[in-house]
Amino acid sequence: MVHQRPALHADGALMDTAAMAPLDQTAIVLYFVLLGICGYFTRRSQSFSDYAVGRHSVPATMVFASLAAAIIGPGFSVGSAGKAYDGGFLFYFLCLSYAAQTIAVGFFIAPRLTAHRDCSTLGDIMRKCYGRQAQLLTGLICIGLLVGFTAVMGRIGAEMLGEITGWPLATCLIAVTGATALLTFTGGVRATVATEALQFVLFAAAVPVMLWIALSRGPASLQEVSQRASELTAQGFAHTTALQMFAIALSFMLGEALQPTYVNRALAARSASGSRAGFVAAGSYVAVWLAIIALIGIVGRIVLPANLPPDSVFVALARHVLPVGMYGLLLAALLGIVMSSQEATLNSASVSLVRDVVPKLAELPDRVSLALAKFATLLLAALSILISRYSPSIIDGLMILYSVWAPTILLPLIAALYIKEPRPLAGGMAIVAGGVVSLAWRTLLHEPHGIPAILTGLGAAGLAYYLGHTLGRPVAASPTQVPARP
Amino acid sequence: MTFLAGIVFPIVSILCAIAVAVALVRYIADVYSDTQGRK
Repeated sequence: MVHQRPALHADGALMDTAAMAPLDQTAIVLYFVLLGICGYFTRRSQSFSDYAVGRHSVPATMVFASLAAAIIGPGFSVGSAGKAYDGGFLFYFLCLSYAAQTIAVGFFIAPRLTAHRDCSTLGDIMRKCYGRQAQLLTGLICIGLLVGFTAVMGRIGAEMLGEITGWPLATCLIAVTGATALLTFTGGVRATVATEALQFVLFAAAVPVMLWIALSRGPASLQEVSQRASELTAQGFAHTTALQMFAIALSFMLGEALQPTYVNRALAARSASGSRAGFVAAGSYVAVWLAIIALIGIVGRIVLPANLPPDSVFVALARHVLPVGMYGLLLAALLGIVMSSQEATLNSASVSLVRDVVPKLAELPDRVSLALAKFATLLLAALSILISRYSPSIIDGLMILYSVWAPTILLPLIAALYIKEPRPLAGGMAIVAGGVVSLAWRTLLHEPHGIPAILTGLGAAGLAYYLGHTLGRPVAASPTQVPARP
Repeated sequence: MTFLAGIVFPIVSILCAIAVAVALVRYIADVYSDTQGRK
């Protein structure tokens, strides 16, 4: 029996309940049953180390799958297809900076992170090198970024669930973030890694098949698609200045570099070589994935109606070309990837709260620390539901946090991994100077001459770090040290 | 570029998915036996 889909909506709202055939809905249910089975076998955290870093036992393939799943989420799939719909391969070429950054992290940073076997968070590493104040600042920035990210992902997931089920937004928000919080509560980083790997398997197989079906069913040959891609890319280059391209590439390269959830993967890796292999493979895969997504956007330009909202191109093409059942599976995988991203952020945020912001909690007996981290997960999830429900400027807030992430944390962290005797003064000064200059450049001066805040912030952080390193004393002389958990 | 993105890269992606699927089964078995062993 062949199910006929309703016609495409002009406003790009393509996932409404009426569009879901029973087979699609069955595929969604089956997908979540599979996820539940996967979760059942991996969700047992018996210690704080289990919950935070999986007792440093995650193999290279799982580091790769987990990172890749986190990267190829809705932003890089739905968002990039929309960009290619307008500008061909231009956005792909700029996004390659992200792949290059991940590969560079794999070669030069991740193995050194993995070597910190006594650390559970990024803040722990900062404390070892720069003292307690740097750990507190790092923890607060991490939690702000992670809760903001959980809220944004919750909102995206809730809107998707609302379009599938027809439920009101508030119910969907509680359903998506609440279910994720419960999964995180009962599991830990190893369970998160397993569910992320499952999302990766499905997404990495289904999306290329979707592209092949679109190419084979579409009205244009591969040569004609290539011709259209060249035209769109040339238009993209013509409408974007060199400074704009530089700013986009730089933001992609540094905006998400060494984010808490990625650092968490490096800390959870079984070995330094496994961590290196996982990051390098994930970076290489991103280059492959983004090209596939870009071509999906270009094919969408040929197959779909003109002037669709860019963010609806990916789902519109999926609905247009995929057979019944597979479309439902793809939507479920998209929703699943949102939830697994939330799992990773909630896990990192709760561990950071216990370890970095209130370290007295981490000095309690292991079982108590574990219980507190789990309780913090529920608390932060509730906070993120409130933010995503009542804060209209949530994306703006998150963008500000992204713009301060690299200037505040990146430079001191890399320096901590390479300099033999880092000075606490240098770390503190770099975090404060990078954050203040970046925020002022963005919010008060509105990025004059198009120079990105991330660049000025990094410059200020570099200068402050140099001064602090010249004037300060090594961490061994600092009286603020807290002993690390073995 | 279109040939790479339309033919070669999708094959690479599907091969990656198969490799991860195999590794995932082993990983789940390892984690499950590990947690059972520590009970």
